[in-house]
Amino acid sequence: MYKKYSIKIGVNGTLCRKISLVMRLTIAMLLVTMTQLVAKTKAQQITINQKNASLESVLKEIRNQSGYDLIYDGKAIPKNRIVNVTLTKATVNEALEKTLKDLPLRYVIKDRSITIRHHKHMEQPAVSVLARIEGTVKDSLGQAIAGVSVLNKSNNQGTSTTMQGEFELDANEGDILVFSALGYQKQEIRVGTQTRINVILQSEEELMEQVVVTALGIRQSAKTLTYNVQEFKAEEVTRNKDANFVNALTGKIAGVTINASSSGIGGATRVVMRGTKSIAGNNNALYVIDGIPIPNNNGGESVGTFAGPVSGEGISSFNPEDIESITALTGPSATALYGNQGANGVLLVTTKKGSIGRIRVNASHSSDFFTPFVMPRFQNTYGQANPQEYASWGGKLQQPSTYSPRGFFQTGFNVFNSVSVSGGTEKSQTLFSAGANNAEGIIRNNTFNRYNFSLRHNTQLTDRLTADFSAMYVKLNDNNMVAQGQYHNPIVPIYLFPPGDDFNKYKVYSRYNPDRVIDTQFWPYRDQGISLQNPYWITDAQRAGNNIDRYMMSVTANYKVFDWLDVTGRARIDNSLTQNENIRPASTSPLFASNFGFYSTNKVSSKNTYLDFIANIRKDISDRVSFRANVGGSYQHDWMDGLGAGGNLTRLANFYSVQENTENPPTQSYSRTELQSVFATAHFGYDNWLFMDLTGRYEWPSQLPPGVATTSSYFYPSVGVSGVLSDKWNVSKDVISFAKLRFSYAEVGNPPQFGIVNPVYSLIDQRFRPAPFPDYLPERTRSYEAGMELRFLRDRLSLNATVYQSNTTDQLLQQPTIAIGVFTDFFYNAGDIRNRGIEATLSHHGKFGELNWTSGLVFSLNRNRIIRLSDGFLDPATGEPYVNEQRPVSGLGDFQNVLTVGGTMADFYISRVLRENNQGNLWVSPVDGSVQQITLSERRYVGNGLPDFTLGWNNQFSFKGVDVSFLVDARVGGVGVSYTQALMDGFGVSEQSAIDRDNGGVLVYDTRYPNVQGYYNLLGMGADGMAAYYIYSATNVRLREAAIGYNIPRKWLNEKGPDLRVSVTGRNLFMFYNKSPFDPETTSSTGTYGQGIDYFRQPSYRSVGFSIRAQF
Amino acid sequence: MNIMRNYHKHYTVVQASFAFLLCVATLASCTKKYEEYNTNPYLATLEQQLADGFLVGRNFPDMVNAVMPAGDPAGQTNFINSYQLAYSLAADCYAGYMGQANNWNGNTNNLTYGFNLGWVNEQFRLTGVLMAGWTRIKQATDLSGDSLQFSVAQIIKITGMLRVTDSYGPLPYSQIPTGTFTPAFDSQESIYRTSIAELGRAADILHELGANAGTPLAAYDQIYVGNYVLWAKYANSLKLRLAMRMAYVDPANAQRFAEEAVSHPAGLLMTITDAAL
Repeated sequence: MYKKYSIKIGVNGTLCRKISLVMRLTIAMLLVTMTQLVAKTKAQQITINQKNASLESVLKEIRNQSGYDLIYDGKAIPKNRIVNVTLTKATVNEALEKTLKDLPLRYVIKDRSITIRHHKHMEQPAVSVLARIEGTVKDSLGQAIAGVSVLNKSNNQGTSTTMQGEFELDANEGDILVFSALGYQKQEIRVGTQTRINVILQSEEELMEQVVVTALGIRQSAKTLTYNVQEFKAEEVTRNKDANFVNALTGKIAGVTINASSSGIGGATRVVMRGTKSIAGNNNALYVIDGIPIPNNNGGESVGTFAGPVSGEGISSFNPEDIESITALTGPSATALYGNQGANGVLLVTTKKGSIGRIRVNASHSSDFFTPFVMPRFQNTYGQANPQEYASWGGKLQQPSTYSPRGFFQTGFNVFNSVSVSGGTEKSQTLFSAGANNAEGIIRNNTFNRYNFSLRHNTQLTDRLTADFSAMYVKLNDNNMVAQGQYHNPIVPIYLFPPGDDFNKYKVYSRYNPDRVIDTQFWPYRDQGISLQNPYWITDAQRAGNNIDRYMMSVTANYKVFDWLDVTGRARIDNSLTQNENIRPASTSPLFASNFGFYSTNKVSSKNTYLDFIANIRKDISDRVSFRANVGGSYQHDWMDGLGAGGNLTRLANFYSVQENTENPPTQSYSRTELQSVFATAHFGYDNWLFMDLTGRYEWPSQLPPGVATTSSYFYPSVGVSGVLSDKWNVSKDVISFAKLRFSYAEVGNPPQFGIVNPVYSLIDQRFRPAPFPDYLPERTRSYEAGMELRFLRDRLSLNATVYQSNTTDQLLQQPTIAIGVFTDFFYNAGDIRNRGIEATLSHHGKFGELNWTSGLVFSLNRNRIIRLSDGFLDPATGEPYVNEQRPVSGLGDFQNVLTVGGTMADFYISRVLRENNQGNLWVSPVDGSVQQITLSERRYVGNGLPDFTLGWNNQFSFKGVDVSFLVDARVGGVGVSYTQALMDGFGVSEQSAIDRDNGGVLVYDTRYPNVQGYYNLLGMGADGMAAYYIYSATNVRLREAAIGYNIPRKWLNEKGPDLRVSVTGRNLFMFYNKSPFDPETTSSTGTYGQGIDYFRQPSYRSVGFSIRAQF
Repeated sequence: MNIMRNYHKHYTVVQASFAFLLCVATLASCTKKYEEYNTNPYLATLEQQLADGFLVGRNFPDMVNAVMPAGDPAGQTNFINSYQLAYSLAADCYAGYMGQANNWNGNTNNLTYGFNLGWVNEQFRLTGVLMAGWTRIKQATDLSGDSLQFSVAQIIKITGMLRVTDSYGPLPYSQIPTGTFTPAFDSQESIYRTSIAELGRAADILHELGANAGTPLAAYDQIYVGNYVLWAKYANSLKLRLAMRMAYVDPANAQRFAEEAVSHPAGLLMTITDAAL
């Protein structure tokens, strides 16, 4: 064995041998010295009469009386061993024989020295050898806890505490006792010389506050943190389950805005932490699973009239039941260790592990049912002027129509089933889980199905080496996810449908066409200039879906090198294959298909690899100064390669084959990035109340290739200090139980964009030929934050508030030239976006008899401001300086999102208004009485899309096994535009258009303008109309979540059944306040821009459901 | 021995750790493939486009079609429409070459000397395409130093700009390559003078070097299939045309330029084989 090692490890093997040799020599010399010092000649007669004495003291007495040297390993002699010895003039041999009787020890006397060793054959200690340990177990409030399991790890014997929290157990010194109880943090105590052990168990809730998961999965004491971290238990995402668990966090995290996609079930989300920071880059939070960043391919971007179906996002493929906890790192100080991925904040997801003990089976089922939540209002009293016309500007109907657009929407559902099996020993635990999520939205055939399988195994291979394996497979498919727009959106014909016509005629959406020998679309109304089709044709005949197979595998190994040093290595792969298919049968509108139909298919494979290695060092510098550090490196490689083909069918109707029936050239998509980094953190504590954090990360992104890019590596530092003043001054815990102040500074980035430094060009499409940009600097966010955490009245009331400011500079901006020359566009770095704000949570835990009441307020306020754009920079195309730059970035029709210095990133402008006369009133044509639209020479600001602040109020009550919770949240400020309302007005189907007709005119400029149709035909042209008159306040207050749960008492099930919990849940139940015809909190675009625009968005869902959960 | 074994374990782990750190360090310095990673393999780099002179050559058809939109089947009706707007409707109608039994735009159009901007602007749009192609060729040949290809581009550019300046007079011209959004107008005289000088240089270069330079532009040259000698002849003939057009403005110089063109060793387009394809 020894030889083998030496050969294998070469030079260091010799070194190792030398060191151990030196150590052995040292020990030997020490022993020799000691022997000579104590050797004395004495009579070998020993008299001892000791009762209830410790073994050690008896042995010392023997040594003293005999004069022999006594050599023993401290561990061999049990310190708490009590012996009764009565000896009279005994020899050393007799004395030892008697004293060590029944003990697994053996002695050897040689050269006047006694050596006591473990007796090999008696190593299994008899019970009688153990000392009786007794004690009590209490909680942190001093209440005794009954039924705590107490287990002696060494011999696997155990007991549990009495009603008074008392226990008795036999244990040897050095044994480890494990105290565990449901709802409390497990605690291990090493038995010392004492015979009484009093234990205080921290409740699990307190554990949450004590240790939190921070960047890279490093666990840190919450008390010492220098930045804000918000942790959530899995319950927050499983109580009211959503197919995309991120939605369930809405209104619960301070400093975060979460917008669900209007594409409904399984849709992507827009998660922005502490304001948007990047003009051209990504502004969505980074997702991290068990410390490792995962790519989140977000398909939720849908901007403009002509956008087609959308898809979900990477994170929505996770099973909410696999989640143990979620940590929100909202600020750059918390995310500094993620370097150039840290600017947008991080949502850290920690997944579940197997549990110790007998096999546990958890099963859960939930069913949720959806109906439309916020919808515009319709009229049903006016018909068409003629039956060919889709608009409803005709006369009053004989009797009001029964057509109701709401009737088109079905009751959607989301059925979620999951089962997990977990179990294991102290050393090895396994968890297997499977989940199925089957859903259909409120629009027919908008389906979402997801199947998750995961296997996790944690094992302690040796005392020092632990390993954690996990594998996950996700199969996901979705169909017809429509977020907004007029293409392939059944809501457009539904909302605009003339109530004068009979909708039932169109429900059979296709008719047999004998000339073509196929079924063709039945839709006599044709296109109407807004791409209308039969809504049922869109939902039933057309298909746009994604199939995703995703595999994830990870392994983590931790080795404890020394007590103060352990090393962790992690590897993770995450591969997925997405197949997208679009089918439009013959007789689909000619805009979308040929006479034969349309077919396209697209396959994207993505491979993501992550490796890291972290050494964790914990070594206290002195009694007062503690020190912890992490040093490591990481490697991340993300690769995506797509191939798409198809187009209009060219030969045969309804035959979907790229090879046989299409002629368009295939398309390819590609991206590949690699990120290598080294990082280090240092964490100092002084007297356990003052803490300092330093982190640094140096990284090499492949988007900045050395030799091509001027600078290809970057450093991201952070520094923070925190002081727990309540510990420093020892304030009375009854009043102020905790007070902490913290301050930190960090620099982080946004990943540079792929292919900017050394661009490549299309041979076919010459429109975009960017110049190489070797001086590319990645965006940098410099951020300060200061915060305080206060807890009063023995933690009953707590306040956590943070103020922050961040400046994001070196934005990537693009300057198009008049398309001459080899290059059409130049990139440059400029700009400065500032975000400052407050995030705060105030919570209260109250106990009134058997009623427990927890209440929390979550407050977020952010002010976004463009400090600088390109002003002062030279236009790279012309060499002329920029002056008063206005940068339109997005928008629809006349509603434009324009960036200007001093404004926000979501400032909206319009330029078309009604013509006014010289009195400032409505101009009416003296010739024909019409009104006119004029275009302002300068855009007019109409508001911004950002909330002034948001507030969430979360309440949980529990009483005798029943728990009730509800969440009310409010968003105050911001505006949006509704083109839906505009077009409904234009087509004469809105309630308002009927009211105006009933009243004989539109009330405008305080007078009634009689030509209602003329007025709305001018305004309500959708994207071509006048957005200025369809701007709505986005302020809204709603009952976001409510749930009632009941833990069924075991006695109902003869004590033998499983732990059962049933609950009824609801989401988006009630709007207390909302003045807009759409839900301002959903978004049709999960990207940076395109917010606040309603162009036939799917209504958000009101959901009501129930769930059952059982643990066997 | 137990202790020994433990120490061994520690050392292997420490070694492994160092090895890993070293790996990370070498990985970190191993960023050689980064340029490859950062390159989408499905689009071409500028270097790749040097093959067959693609980077320069692809611009010649664009330029030629901007002078006289003739196009090819792939362009469908784009070229025909463009020709119709710029020449049939804007120019020929205005000049009275054509009459129409149609009162477009309430009878305010080029037939009635009320400019229809949609028609008139087409020629300026074509000028943009022409000058863009020329600028790309200039930038690419500045790098490659290929004066022959650049000379051909000069000749096509002048052919096109001559039409525009003769139609509309002063034009933005010399400042176009700077990329400015507000180029100054050049007088027609200045456009003529620079053009004549440029044509003379082009004819010299094409004559001296063209005969032995092969036909690298064969694939892109819709006029002479890359035959530089014929381009030299064309340059002289075009120079002669310019000289004739200035005969009543500046007779002395016009005569001098005409004689230069006629006496140039490359000669003029004289025979039927000199005609464009």
